[in-house]
Amino acid sequence: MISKALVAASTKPIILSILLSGENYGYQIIQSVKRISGGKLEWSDGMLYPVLHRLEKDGFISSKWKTSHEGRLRKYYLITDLGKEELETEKKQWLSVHAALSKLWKPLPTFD
Amino acid sequence: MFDLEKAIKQWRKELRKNEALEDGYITELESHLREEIENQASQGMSEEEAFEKAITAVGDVEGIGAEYFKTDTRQLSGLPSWKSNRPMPALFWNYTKIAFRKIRRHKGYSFINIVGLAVGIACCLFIILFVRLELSFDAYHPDVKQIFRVGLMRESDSGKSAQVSNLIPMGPTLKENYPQVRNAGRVCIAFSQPTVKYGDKMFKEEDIYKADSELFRIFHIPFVQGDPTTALDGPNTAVLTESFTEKYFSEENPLGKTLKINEKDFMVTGVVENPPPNTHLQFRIVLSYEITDEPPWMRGWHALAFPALTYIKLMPGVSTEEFEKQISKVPHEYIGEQLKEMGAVYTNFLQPVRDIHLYSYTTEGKKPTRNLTYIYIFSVVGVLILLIACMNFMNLSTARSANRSGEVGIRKVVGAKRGQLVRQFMGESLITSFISLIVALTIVHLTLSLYNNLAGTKFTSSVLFQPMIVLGSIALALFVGVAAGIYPAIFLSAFQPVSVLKGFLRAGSRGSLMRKVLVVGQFGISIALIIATIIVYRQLNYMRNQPLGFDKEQKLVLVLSGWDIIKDNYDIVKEEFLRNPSITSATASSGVPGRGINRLWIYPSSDEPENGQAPMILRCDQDFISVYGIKMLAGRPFQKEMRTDKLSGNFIINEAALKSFGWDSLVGAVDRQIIVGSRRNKYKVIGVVEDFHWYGLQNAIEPMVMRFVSMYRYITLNVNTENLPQTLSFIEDKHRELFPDQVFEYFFVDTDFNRQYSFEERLGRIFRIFTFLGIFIACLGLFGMAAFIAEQRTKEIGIRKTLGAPVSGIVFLLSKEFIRWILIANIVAWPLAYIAAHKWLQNFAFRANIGLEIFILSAVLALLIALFTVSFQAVKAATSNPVDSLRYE
Repeated sequence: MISKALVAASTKPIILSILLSGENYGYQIIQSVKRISGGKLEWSDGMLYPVLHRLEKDGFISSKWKTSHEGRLRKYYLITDLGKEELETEKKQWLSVHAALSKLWKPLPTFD
Repeated sequence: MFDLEKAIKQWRKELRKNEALEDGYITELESHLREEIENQASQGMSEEEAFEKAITAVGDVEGIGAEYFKTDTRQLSGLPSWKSNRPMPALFWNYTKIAFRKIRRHKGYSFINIVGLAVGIACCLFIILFVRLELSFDAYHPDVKQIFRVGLMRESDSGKSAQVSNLIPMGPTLKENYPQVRNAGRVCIAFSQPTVKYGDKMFKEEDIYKADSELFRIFHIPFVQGDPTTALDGPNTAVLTESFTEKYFSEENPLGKTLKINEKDFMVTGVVENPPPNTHLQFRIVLSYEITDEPPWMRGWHALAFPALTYIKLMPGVSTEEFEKQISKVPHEYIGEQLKEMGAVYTNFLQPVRDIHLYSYTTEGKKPTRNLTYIYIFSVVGVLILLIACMNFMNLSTARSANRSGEVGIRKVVGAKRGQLVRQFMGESLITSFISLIVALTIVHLTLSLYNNLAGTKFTSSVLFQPMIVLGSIALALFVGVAAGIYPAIFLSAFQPVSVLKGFLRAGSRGSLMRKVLVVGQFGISIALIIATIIVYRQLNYMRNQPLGFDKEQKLVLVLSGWDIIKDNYDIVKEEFLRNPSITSATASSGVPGRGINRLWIYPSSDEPENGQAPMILRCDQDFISVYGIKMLAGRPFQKEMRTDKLSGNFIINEAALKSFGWDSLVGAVDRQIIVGSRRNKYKVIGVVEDFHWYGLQNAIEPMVMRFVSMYRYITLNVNTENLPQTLSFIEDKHRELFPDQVFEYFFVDTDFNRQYSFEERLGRIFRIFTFLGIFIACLGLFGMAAFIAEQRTKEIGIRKTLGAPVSGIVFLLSKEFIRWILIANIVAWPLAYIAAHKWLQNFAFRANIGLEIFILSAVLALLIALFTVSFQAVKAATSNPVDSLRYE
C-alpha cells in the first residue's frame, strides 16, 4: 500500500499523464490508474472528481459534457498547453527525487 | 424488490444535502456510479450488490464535498476569513450588488433621487464655473500682487469719495522719484465711440485705449506680431487685438498700415492676443499715449481733469502700506494751490489690481460691486437648491427604511457591526451621488449655451475637463453623497434586529419628525425663492413704470461723435430734420437721460472754497425742456431770442439742486446768482424744473444745473411711430447728407434708459430659473413622499372606501398633512425672505414696497403646486378599487 500523502502528491502527474494520451472521462481515468499501478495506488473513486475540478480551475485541463452512445452523460477532460508544461515540471521533480533515492539505495561497496 | 433508479435517486438526494456539491458535480458522480454498477453487473453481480459496491467505491460523500469546497473557496481567499487582506472590505461586492439592485428595483424612487441630485449638482457646477471665473480676474498677470492702480481719494466736509483715475503726469512722476516703482503706465479709455476707418471699412468702435508701452511690462499681454518694448513709443501708433485685426485687415498683414481714427492717422505697430474674459482691461485697440495736436492741458498737471488710469508695478519686497503713505501727498506737492481752490484734500491711494473687478472704490472706501453681489446671490441660491436635493434624498431614504429593515435585521443577526452598516448605506448614497454627477455633467453640457446667455459668459464644454472642475465635481459628489447619506445611514443602522424581525417596526413610522422637518425645510426654501422672484420682478416693474419726470416715449436719439459736429450749423440741421411731418420736434443736448453726464464746479451761495459743489451739468438748447416734457416749477425756460440766455450762460436748476444749495423757496430761487470757476464769474438762475430721473431708479435724483450752451453730443427727435420705417430711412438719408463722414448711430430713449435695469433683469431671470428648479426638485421629493404615504395607507383607504368614504374625502385625508407642512414652511420662509428682500431693496433709491400680498401669493402658489403634486398620488390611491387592496387580508 502507498501512503496517503504520497497518493495525494502523485495524483496530479498521474492524471495529467493519462490525459496526455487523449481526452478521457472520470470513470475511465480511474480504471487506467488501477490498471497501470496494478492496484497498488488505491484511490477512493469519488475523490478523483474534486481533484479533476481543481486541475480544471487551475487551467491544466479543460472539460466538456458529452452523451455516450448509450445515452449516458459523461464529462470528458482534456489536457491544456498549460497542463502539458505543468506535467513537464512535475516530471522533472519526480525524476530528480527518483534519481536521488536511486543513488542512496545502490548496494554499498564492500571492502574485501 | 430492489429498484435501482429509486436507489440512485435516493443517493442523489443524500448528495444534495451537502452544500458543497453543486448539480454538475452530482451529475458527474452519478454518471460514474452508473458506469461502475454496469461494470459490476456485467461480471454477474445482482443490481443491489453492484449498487452497494459502487457506493462504497465512490467513498465518503462528506470527504468529497469537503474537497470540492476547498477547491471552490481556495481562490476567493487563501487566508482564513478573519484575516482578510484583500483591498476591498469583505462584503464590498455584495454591497455594490445590493445597491444596484435597489436602484433597479425601485425605478421611481431612484429616478427622483438621481434626477433631483443631478439638477442640484448641475446648479452647483454652474455656480462653481461662474464663481471661479469671477474670482480669477486679473490673477494671471505675473507678480500680480505687486500691481496696483493709483487712485485719488477726495476728502471734504461732505465726506470721502474715491476716483479711480489720477492726474495725467502721476505715473511718470512716481516712477522718476520713487525707486520702489518698477513700472508705471497710464491708460485712458476713449469716452465716446471714435470712428475707425481703414480702406472702405468704417465703424464706430468701443474699448479704445490710449496707453504707454509700460502697459505691456506691467500686464501680461502676449504679442502676436511686433515688438512689445517699443510698440507704443512713437506718437500716433496703435496696437490691435487679433479680433480687431480680423475685422479690418482679414488676410492682410496689418503691421505698418495706417488706420484713421477720428480723422487722425495711426500706424499699426503690433498685434496682441485678445484679452481673456477674466481681465478688467477689455481693450480692442491701444493707441500710443502721445498723439499729435492734442491740447496741452491733456499732458500737464491740471486739477480739473483726471483722465488717466495709473497703474504701477512695485519692486519685489516693497511694503505697500509704507509706500502708499509716502505717495499720498504727491498731488498736493504739485498742484496744492489748485486743489485747495476746490475745497477738498486729494490723496493718492493704491488699489490692488485683483480688487478692481470685485470691489469698487468710487464711494466710501471699499465696497463690493455688482459682480460680487452676483457671486453672493448665485452661491447662496445654488447651495439652497443643492440642499433641497439632498433633503429629498434623506427623506425618501428614511421613509423607505421599512423596506430595508429586514435586510438590516438579517445583517445584524449574522454579525454586522453598526459601522459596517453605516458604511454600506453611505456607500449606496455615494453610488447614487456619482450616478447623479454623471447625469449632472450631461445636463451642464447640454444647457451650457443657455447658461452663457443668462450669465453673460462664453464657456464651452471643454471647461468640464479642466482639472479643477473635474476635482471640484468629484469633491461635490462626495460631499453630496455624504451629506445626503449620513442621516439615512445612521437611522437605518440603528434598527434593533429583534424588533424589525419580529415585525414590530411599523413601516415608515420612525423618523417621521425628521421627515416633516425636511419637507418643511424644502418648501421653506422654495417659498423664499418664490418671494424673492416676485420681489425682483416687482421692483423691476416698478422701475420701468414709475413716472420719470420726463417723457421717454417716441424719442429717437442721434449720437454725434464729437463736440464740434454741430455748433453754428445747428439751426439748419434742426430745420432739415423737422421737414419731415413725422418728426414733431427736435432738441440737442450734451446728454440724454440714462447716458453719462459731466459735472460742473460751482459756488451756489458764496465763493468760499468750502461752499463748492459739483452738480451734474446738462448743456442743451431752448427746446430740451419742452421736448422732454419736463415741468417748470418757477421762472421760465431758455429762450432763443434772449441773447443773454446763450451768451451769459444763465442757469436752470432742478429741485434737488435747490435743496442742495440750501435755498428755501422756489420763487426766491429765480434771479439768484451762481458763481462758476476760478475766475468767479457770476451767472443768474432763471428757472427751476421739477426733479426728473437722469439715471435709473437705483439712483437718487441728484442736483442738476442746465445751461444753454452749444456743446452737443446728442440730437433728440420726437418721432411719430406710425410709419417708423419710412421716417427712419428719411433720418438716415438726412444724416448722410448732413454729416457725410459720420457713422449713423441712433437709439430710442425708452429702450436705452431701461438698459440700466439689465442687471436686475438678469437677476430676475436667474431667480426665475433657480426657483423653478428648486420647486421642481422639492416636488419630485413630495411626489415620492406622497406615493410612499399612499402606499402605506392602502389598506386604510380600502377599508374607508368599503365603509362608504367618498373619493374627495380620501384625497383630502391624504393631502391634509402636506397642507399643514406647507403652511408651517411659510412661517419659516416669510421672515427670512423679508429680511433678504429688505436688504436687497436698500440698493435702490426708489423701491417698490414689500406688500403682504406677495407673501400670501407665494404661499398660495406653493400650496397649489404642492397640492397638484400630491393629488396625483392621492387621487390614484382614492380611486383604486378597495377589492385590490383588501383581497389579501
